[in-house]
Amino acid sequence: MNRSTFTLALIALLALMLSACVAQAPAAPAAEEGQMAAEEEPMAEEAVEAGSEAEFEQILACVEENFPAESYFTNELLPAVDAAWEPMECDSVDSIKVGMPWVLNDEEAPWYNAIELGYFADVCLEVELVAGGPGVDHLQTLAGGAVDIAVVAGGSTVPSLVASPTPADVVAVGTFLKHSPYIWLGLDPDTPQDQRSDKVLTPQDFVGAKVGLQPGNDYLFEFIANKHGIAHDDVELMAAGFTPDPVLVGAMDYIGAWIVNQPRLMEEQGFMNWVAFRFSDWGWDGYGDVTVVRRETFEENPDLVSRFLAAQTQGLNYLLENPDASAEIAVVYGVDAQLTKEQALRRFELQEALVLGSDDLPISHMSADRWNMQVASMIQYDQLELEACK
Amino acid sequence: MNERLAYIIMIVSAPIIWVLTIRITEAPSFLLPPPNMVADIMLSEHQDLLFHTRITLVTALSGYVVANIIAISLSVSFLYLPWLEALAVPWTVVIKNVPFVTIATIMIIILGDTPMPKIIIVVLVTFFPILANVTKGLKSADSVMLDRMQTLDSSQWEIFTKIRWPSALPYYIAAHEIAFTGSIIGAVVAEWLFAREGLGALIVRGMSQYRADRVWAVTILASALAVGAYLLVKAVEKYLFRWQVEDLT
Repeated sequence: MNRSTFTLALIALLALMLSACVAQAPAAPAAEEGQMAAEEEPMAEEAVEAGSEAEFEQILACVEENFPAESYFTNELLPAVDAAWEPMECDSVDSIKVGMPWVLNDEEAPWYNAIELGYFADVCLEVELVAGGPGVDHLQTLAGGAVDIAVVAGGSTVPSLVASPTPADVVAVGTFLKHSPYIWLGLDPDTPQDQRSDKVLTPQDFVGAKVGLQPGNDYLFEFIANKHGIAHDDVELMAAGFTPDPVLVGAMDYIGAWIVNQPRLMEEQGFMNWVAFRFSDWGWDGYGDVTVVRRETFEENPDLVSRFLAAQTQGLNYLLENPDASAEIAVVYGVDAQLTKEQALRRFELQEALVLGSDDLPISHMSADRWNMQVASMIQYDQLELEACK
Repeated sequence: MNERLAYIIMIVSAPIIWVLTIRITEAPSFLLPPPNMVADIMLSEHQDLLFHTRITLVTALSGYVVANIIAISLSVSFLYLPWLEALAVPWTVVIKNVPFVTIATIMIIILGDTPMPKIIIVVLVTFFPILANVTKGLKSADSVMLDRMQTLDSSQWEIFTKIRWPSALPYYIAAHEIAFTGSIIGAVVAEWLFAREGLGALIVRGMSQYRADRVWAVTILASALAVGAYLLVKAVEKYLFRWQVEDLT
C-alpha cells in the first residue's frame, strides 16, 4: 500500500470519527414519539393511560400466543406444600455452585439457613454460595457453566435471555420474592426526620424532581411517563449508584432502590422519614430473587434441582417462622456486609409481604399470568424484542 | 514487516479468526455471536451507535485536553521548581492509582449526573503518561546545547522553545500513543460506571438486555476508535519528524 492509499484510509477513519461527532440524536423510540405528541397536544392523563392500556392488552395477547411463560418457567420441581421434612440416606453427595443475587449480605438468608441448619446436607447436597454484586450477572455465569444454579435478582432477566437473538436456554424453577421490591426512594419533607412517613407517592410527585437511576434502568421512567402522562422534560433523570447518599445530601430527590435494602440504610443514618414509590403498586411488577437452572440440568437431572428447591424452601420457611434466629445466622454468613442483627430483622420485616405475595399460590410458586404481563410490559417499553409482537 | 500491511492483515484475519473460534470452541451466541450478526447491528442501528459515539468522543477529547494542560503545566513547573516535583510526584502516583470506582461514587454524589465526573475519570487515566514523558523529555535536552545557549546569554524562554521543548517533543508524542487511546477507553469505562449515554452506557444496556450482538458491536466500535486515535498519533509523529527520515535518506 502506498502513502496516498494510507492517507486515504486515515482520512476515512477521521471522517468516521467526524461523522460520529455531527450525528443527530437517534430516532425516538415509539414510546418517546408518543410522548412528544403528547407534549405538542396536551392530553388528559386518563386518555394517555387508556391508550397505553389498549396497547398493553394487544401485546399481552401476542405474548401469550407466541412466547408463553410456560416455555421458560415451571413450578413442578418445587416441594409439595404439606411435605414433611425428612433427611435422605446419602450414598454420594453432589457438590454444586449456586450464584447469589447480590453480595453476601442478609438478602441470602434462606440459603444461609439451609446450609447452617443442614437442609442441603439432608438432601445430599454440598452447596457453595457464589457472591453476586455490581457487574456480576449470575444468569450469564449459569448459561456459561460457571455455576450450576443461579438466583437472579430481577426475574425479568430470564425471559430477556431466553427471547434474546443471542439466547441461552434456561428455566426459572422458583422465586423468593413474589413482588418486585423496586422503588423510587426519597425523603418526605413534611414529616420530621425522626418519624416515619405515611405519605403515598403518585407519579405526579415526580414532576419537577431529580431522579437518580442506575445504568440501564431508564425504561422504568419510560413506563411511568407513558403510562401516567408525564412529559419527559418534567423529570430530571440522573445516573446513580446503589447507595441512598445522593438523596440524603440533596443531590437527588429520589433514587432507584429496593424496598428491602436502602430504606433501612437511611434509617441507620437517622432518616426515618423516607418515602417510597413502589412500582409493583403501579403496574410494573415481577418476581425477584428467582432460582434458575439450565434447561439441560432441568431435563437431565431434575432430581438434583428438586432436592435443592426442597432445602431452599425449608430455609425460607425457617426464615418466616424464626426471623430472630435467621438474623443471627445471616449476620455470620453475610460476610460482604457489616450487618447487625437489628438491620437483618428490619429487612425481614420489610420483605415479608413480598415473600408471601398477594396470590393464592404457596410460597416460591409463580404464575404464568404474572410472567406474561411482565414480558408484555417489557416489550411495550422497548426492553425486550419479540419478532412476532413488534 | 510493513506496519500498514500488518494492519491490513489484522483487519482481514480478525473475522476469519472469529468464525474459526466459534466453529472450534462451539461458543454459544450469548458469549460470541457470529460476525454477520454483529455487522447487522452496526448497519441497522448505525444512527444510534453514531449518536452515542459522539458522546463518548466529546467526553474523551474534553478529558484529554484537560489532561494535557495539567500534565504539561506540571512538567514545566517541575523543570524550574525542582522542589515542586519532589512534593508532587507521590501525589500524582497516588491519584493515578486510586481505584476509579471509589472516585466515581464520590463524584456522582458531589457533581451529580454531569459530564464532569466522566471527564475527571478520563483525566485520571491519561494525565500520568503525559506528565512522566514530558518531564523526562524536558530534562533530556542536550547539556552541550544548553551550555552554549547560556554562553550566548539566551533567555529562559529561548532555551525552552529552542532546546528543551524540541527535545521533549518525541517523548510527548510517544505519550500520546498511550494516553490518546487511553482517553477513549477511559471515557467508555466512565460511561459504563455511571452514565446514561455514550458507548459505555450502550454496553450496560446491551448486557442488561442480554444482547451480545449489541455489546460486541459497541466493543468493535470502541476498539476501532482507539486504533484510529493511535494511527492519528502515528501520522502526526511521522509528519513532525519527517526530517529524521529525510536525513537518513
